[in-house]
Amino acid sequence: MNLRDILNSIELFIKKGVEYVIAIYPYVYSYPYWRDQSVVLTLSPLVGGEQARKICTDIYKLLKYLDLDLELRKKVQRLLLNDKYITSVIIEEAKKRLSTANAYEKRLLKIVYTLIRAPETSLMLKIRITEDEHGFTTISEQALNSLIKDKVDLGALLVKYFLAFKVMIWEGSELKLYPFVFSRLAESLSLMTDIKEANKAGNILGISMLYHIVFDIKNKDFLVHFFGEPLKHYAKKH
Amino acid sequence: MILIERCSLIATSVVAHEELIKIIYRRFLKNLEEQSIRELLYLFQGILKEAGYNTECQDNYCGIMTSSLKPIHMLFYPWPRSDIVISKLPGDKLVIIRGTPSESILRYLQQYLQNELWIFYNDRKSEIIIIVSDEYTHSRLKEILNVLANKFQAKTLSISLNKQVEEMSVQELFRKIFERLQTLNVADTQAAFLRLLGLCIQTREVDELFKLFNIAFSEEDKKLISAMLEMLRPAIDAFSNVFGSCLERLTSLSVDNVDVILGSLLVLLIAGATMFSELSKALPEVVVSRAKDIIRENVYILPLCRVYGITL
Repeated sequence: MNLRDILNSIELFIKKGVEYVIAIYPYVYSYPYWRDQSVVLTLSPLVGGEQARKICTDIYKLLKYLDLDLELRKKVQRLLLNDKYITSVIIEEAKKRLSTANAYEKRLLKIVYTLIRAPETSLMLKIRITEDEHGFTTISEQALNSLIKDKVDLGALLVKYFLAFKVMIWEGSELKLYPFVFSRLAESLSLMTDIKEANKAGNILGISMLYHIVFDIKNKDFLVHFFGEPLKHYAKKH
Repeated sequence: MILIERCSLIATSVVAHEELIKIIYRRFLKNLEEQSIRELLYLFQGILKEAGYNTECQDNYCGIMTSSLKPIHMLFYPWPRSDIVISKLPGDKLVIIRGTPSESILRYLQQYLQNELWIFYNDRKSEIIIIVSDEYTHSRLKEILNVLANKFQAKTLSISLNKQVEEMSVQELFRKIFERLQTLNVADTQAAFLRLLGLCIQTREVDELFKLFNIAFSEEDKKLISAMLEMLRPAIDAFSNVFGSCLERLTSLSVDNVDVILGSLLVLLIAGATMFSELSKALPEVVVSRAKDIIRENVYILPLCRVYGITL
């Protein structure tokens, strides 16, 4: 079996459902010992455990040659990052899901995405956020959940919105963020974009308040007089 | 009001590491601020250039070079901030803030307006609101305001000030400082001053030193020296804690007019800086070079020095 055959099979496979393509990633990028667990871990929140195991068996049938041919495995790994069709399926699905996301989940995703991408996070929190040899930004699930106070399964959330997949490792599990999704959706998932848009839209009050809060400017006299009475009440709350 | 929601993010439950998200927001806002300032600067610089004015700009500051010796200072803010500090630097000052204020800004400015003119710029409507005091005498600014009024829809609001504002021209200030310097007995002053500095570092006997200080200097001289020290304070603070505590006492003699600080420094630089160079000799080279850096970094001083042909 050569790369062309594999690509054809993957394309056929994708037609069965978009979750099938998601399943291929943990399968191909996990250590072989952990790959079934990785697939099930990634897919269970999306399709349930039973279906996840079924998909895993299907993938095994499709990609079992990879166990014998290391070179082919590497080629498939490169293919999954660079093939326009495969990556576009994930990007489009991520876009679609994000466009219908509720405000709370979208807010969480933006915060998580911003935190993961900020160089300060790993320094300040001593959390390892690395880029693996394939270009996936990688963070442990435990570290990821420590970013947020709310009791939300952030890993499942990232998987649900097609932003990442999970892989099992000896120490637990890791999230790997698709680089091609990030490069396409970086703008819409960035808190910076919100600030820029608010500035462009002339939301001077919002920007000013945010500025005073994040730079710890306690005295807000000028602001209160600038924006008038309504701000007084707002300023008191903060 | 997306941003209001964002603000509440920081204070409420979602983020476990408020400090971290604050740092990230700071970075974002700094970027946005720099970008927005650049846009504001280009806009106003362009308009003034078209009208034949040269400007020297750095960060959020622009000096408009006019035929007179005094530049006109402009400060730009892309959104209102409560931490704006207006320098007491001599000369006409324009503070340009993006946004349209409510009427109560007049009450605020009535109380705090010093010697500057405020312009609020609404970029969406291409409109400016100019706030002037009824004691408005900035005749040189009138032509600038006319240039701006031709470009934007301009509305001028006048307010009565609660207090008298005294403006001293740079030349006047220099003349006074020169006079003062001439009447000083430089040799004695220097000797006493250097002794004081030396003792500060060596002995920590601050009270003893103050006796000496009081004997050696007249009230006016103390002001000059403490002004000079104020300029050097960051460098000296970094140099020595002992010296820092000594400085605190010295500078507690209070200099009312910050113009004197700047003026005296400039005069000292222009005049070959006898005293300053002696002071430089008394301080380690690293401190002097840091002090020079501070002066160089000071956006207000730099264009002024250029006007007076001073190389720092």
